[in-house]
Amino acid sequence: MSNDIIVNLESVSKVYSMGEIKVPALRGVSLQVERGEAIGIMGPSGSGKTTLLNLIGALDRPSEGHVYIDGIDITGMTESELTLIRRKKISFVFQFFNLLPVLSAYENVELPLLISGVPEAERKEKVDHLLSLVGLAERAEHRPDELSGGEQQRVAIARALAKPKGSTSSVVVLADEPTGDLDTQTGIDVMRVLIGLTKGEGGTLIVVTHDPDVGKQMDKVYTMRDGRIVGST
Amino acid sequence: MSAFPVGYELSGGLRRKSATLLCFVLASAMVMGVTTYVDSFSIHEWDAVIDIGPIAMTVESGKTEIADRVANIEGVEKVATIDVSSGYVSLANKTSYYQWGGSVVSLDANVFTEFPDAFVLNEGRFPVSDSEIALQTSVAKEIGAQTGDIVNYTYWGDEIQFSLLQLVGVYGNPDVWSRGNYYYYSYYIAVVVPSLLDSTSLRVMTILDVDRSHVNAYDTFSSLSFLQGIEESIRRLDPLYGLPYGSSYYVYDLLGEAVNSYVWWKMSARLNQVSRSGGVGLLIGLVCFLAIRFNVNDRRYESEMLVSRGASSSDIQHIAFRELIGMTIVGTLVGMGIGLLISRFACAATGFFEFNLSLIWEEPFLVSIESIFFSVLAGGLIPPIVFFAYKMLYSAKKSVELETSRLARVWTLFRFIRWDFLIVILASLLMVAMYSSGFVIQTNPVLYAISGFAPYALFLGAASLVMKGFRRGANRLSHAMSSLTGYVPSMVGVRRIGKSASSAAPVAVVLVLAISLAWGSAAVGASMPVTKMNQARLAFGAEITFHLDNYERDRWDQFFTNVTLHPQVEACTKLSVVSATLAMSSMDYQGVSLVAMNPVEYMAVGYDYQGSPLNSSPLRGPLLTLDSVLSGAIVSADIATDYELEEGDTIRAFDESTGEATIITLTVVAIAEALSNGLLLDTGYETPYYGPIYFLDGYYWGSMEVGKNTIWVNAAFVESQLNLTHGAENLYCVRTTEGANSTAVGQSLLDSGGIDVITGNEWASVTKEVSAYLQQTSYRMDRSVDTMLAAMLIATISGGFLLYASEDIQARRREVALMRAMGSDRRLIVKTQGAEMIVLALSSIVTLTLFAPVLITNLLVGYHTSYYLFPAGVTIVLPWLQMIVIFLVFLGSITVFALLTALLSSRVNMASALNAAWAEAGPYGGEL
Ligand SMILES: Nc1ncnc2c1ncn2[C@@H]1O[C@H](COP(=O)(O)OP(=O)(O)O)[C@@H](O)[C@H]1O
Ligand SMILES: [Mg+2]
Repeated sequence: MSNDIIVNLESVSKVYSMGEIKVPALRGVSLQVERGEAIGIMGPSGSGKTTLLNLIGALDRPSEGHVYIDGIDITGMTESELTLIRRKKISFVFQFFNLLPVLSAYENVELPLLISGVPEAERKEKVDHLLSLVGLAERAEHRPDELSGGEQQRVAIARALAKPKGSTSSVVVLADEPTGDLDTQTGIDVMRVLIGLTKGEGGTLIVVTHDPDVGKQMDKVYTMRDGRIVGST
Repeated sequence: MSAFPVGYELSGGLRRKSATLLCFVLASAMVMGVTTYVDSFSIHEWDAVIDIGPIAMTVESGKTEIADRVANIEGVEKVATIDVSSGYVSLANKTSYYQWGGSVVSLDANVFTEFPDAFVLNEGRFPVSDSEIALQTSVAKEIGAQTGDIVNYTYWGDEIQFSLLQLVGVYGNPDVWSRGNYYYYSYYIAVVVPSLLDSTSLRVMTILDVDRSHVNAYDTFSSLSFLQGIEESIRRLDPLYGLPYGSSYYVYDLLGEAVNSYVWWKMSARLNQVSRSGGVGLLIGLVCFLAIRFNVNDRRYESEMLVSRGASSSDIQHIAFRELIGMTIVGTLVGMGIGLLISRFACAATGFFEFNLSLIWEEPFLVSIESIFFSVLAGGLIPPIVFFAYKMLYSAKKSVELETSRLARVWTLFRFIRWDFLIVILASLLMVAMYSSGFVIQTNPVLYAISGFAPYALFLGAASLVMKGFRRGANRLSHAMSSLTGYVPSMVGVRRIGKSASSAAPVAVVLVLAISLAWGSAAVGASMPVTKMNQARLAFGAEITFHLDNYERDRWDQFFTNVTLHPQVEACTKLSVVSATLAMSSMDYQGVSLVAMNPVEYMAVGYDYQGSPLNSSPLRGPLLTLDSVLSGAIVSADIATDYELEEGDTIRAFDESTGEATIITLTVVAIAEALSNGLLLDTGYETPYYGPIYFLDGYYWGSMEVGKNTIWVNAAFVESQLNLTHGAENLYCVRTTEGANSTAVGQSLLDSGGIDVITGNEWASVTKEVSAYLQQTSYRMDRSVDTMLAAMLIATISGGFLLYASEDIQARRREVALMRAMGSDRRLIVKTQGAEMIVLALSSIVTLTLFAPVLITNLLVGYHTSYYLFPAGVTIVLPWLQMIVIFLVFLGSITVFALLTALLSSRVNMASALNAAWAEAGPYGGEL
């Protein structure tokens, strides 16, 4: 296995059970993503895109198969080991932004650094840096309800890249339909920021999208159907 | 498109529905509980009131006999005739000529067969010839006649008539009967044969009883109309009926009067209890508001989602409305059932949270039509009213946000004025004004009602200010807390409280109010008996006071010896109270009580105005001075103020009782706030109470000031100047040993000769007075209702917390999932929730320590034990143990809730919590 592979899925399956009914969401998916790559995942609704992202992000466990992050098999890890993986290597950008409503933009970006125990000076430098990169330096003290949807998503992007110094190159940013709730033009802007910032910081990006134009900006695009990867470009 | 949240309808809807239902249940449960309790307990009042003896009505029909015709009226069961005329009786001997006047009657045979209890012979028989007479027992005693004596019977007919008759018997009338007739007739002093009656003053009286199975507490309305029907039928027997003056037959409907007084009593009792439930009612309103807000928010996002998926919005509104109506109906029905249950427990309460469980079955049970009506009204109307209030508030706010119209300016002005600040100021001013006006509040029902609500207004205003403070100061507070809880917990946890749509703060408000109310009830329950005891000590001047009969002077000493020998008597002494007139200048006179005593002896027996024993009170010194300065006087402060007296001044008092004016000159040795004159035999009730029957014409009662106009003097000095045996009221005062039951001691002293030396049955005991007070219907009702309300409080709190939990769990879960996704461990998450709880708890405790004293004081000051005016107000007794238990019960229940909430929200499925649409659109998004 090459050192450049940061996400590696080996015939991963996921079955949800709703009482008696079993819902197969993923059926033996294998996937490798190289460090620094930006890939897109497309497919109709219900094809298992979100499930895939959740497995990569250690929000959920596969029913079968193995998930390796940065060469480490996280499939059998305990909850506290997973916590550390999430802290160091995973970031999310959600369709509905998922900012903490009681915190300011600055504080929302600062939160992952606080959780990682980064000292204050480094924190401030990092947050200021990220906020100015997403163009929100002026709005640092505003709370989410005072920001537009596009601005909120840019805060979420800055937050996704708020990792301790030196570890941004091993971060996997998982974005699930990040522009799904935004109008077209804002969506384009946000995507530009997301890709630019992730690449600039040296992170890896996996984006679920419905938009073929977004797909074109990616290094690779996989297509899913019925819980399987059916094609790639 | 995002995944539709699986199982949302079921779980979210169920949680919402059950929380809302609980809140709706509360309103009707409270009304049903209180009214059913009052109705059930009122059966005691009914039993007392309805016990009017054998005669239901009396009719005066001039000189016409109507008994036969009355007997034919439907519903009339027994009839008899009494001929009544006026006359005088006296003992026919030469030494005394004491005449006693009143109604003299002759009885037809039916009186004895139909109403055997109306005239009961105590001795001898009734007269059978025109040389015989029977007297009422008390009349015979007054004129000093015994069976066999010759009685002089006189009446004024066309000319004065004397006859000398032999006393052949003495009889009594039932108490209740004379009470009923008290207003219109004098007692029936004598019975003679018809030929001896004064034909000029003769009037025929028909006494009758009715079928009492038609008269019951369950349906007072038809009971009354049944009685009124009989009254009317009797009046129509008058051949002149219908002429301008109606009927000349006068019907006195004793039974109807009793039913009427019961109806009024019940109405005022209900009103009183409903107004006492105001605080809990307010809480229930608050919780209903929270419930409806939660429902509307929840529904709004749900319906937006459904609409975006193609459902018709009118369908959704229809469903939502139907759901609300359904919950209201079910809530009302369930609430009524619960109210019935609760009212049973209230019946079993003998004090605040003191129960005698067997009373659950033994106490009467009465569910009246009115109770059902009122609870349906409360349960059915409160939710829709709150719902529309909420809608209006919300749409007002919305439209203001959208446009800058005139409405917006009004709203800004409204916000600018700060209604809460205004309310706090107004309520405080009102309360200060009320307390300084003292007695006025207690006698004016409107002011009394306002003073009851003022603290809640104050509280709501203050709570709103505190919440705004939280919102503004959240940042600063979270920085301040960070050293205590850590940075992340304080940043995230503490700030949640400030969020306007979070129900955490309102729930804390509800909690504080509930604890304060429960504490207040406990404090009132503990303070009132002690207050009554201290008042009785001042009123009676001792633990037990006997009013000595001056005519039995020779037997006093034997009684005194008996008292001294009683093992449970600690000390005893005699007081002689002389009515005197004070004269400071020739123009100015004032009647006062001079209490002549042996100061050292009385010191071991009496009490000061605050109820502490004299020998350990500030009056100890003055009493010792009075013992050595023979002509000294301890003066009550009101006299000192009126006459501008100071220690060392001289006062002159005239004795009024003897014909010639005796002047005694006294030197003021001390001035006391208030002094007992020992003369009172009771301490007054909460409202003037004249037997079980209230007459609606109304009584006037002035205020009686206890402890004023009194001067304590040394008997050794006054004795030499005045005749204390005949010119004074003599009292024998007793202090019992620690823990003795002074009622029992007093009773046993009466049995061992006391009854012969006291006037009538005039004696007072502190424990007798206190226990009579505690047995009093209204006191028992208040404590029982307080107990019931405390139970309702716990239910209300639970409702509040349930809402809090269900409203918050969604938002909380998302937050927890988010933090976990960022890599925070469980410890950090627990600490975050903990930080929030700590701040809530701390701020609740601060509010509690500020508000509880205000509410407790207000409750105590507003509570009256007597319509007499006592110099010392309520003696505040705080039942610490009970209060701590109350606190712990509340604390325990919120801890359980907090833990459950924390547990539920930390068991998160991160994947679904973070991706579901509703996570974003939870109530957090709501503005109000
Ligand atoms: N928590 C869950 N429980 C049961 N079924 C689920 C759950 N989450 C997703 N599914 C099902 O798994 C399949 C894949 O869902 P998802 O990964 O969300 O698809 P996508 O993101 O491509 O729309 C769908 O059929 C969906 O209904
Ligand atoms: Mg999806």
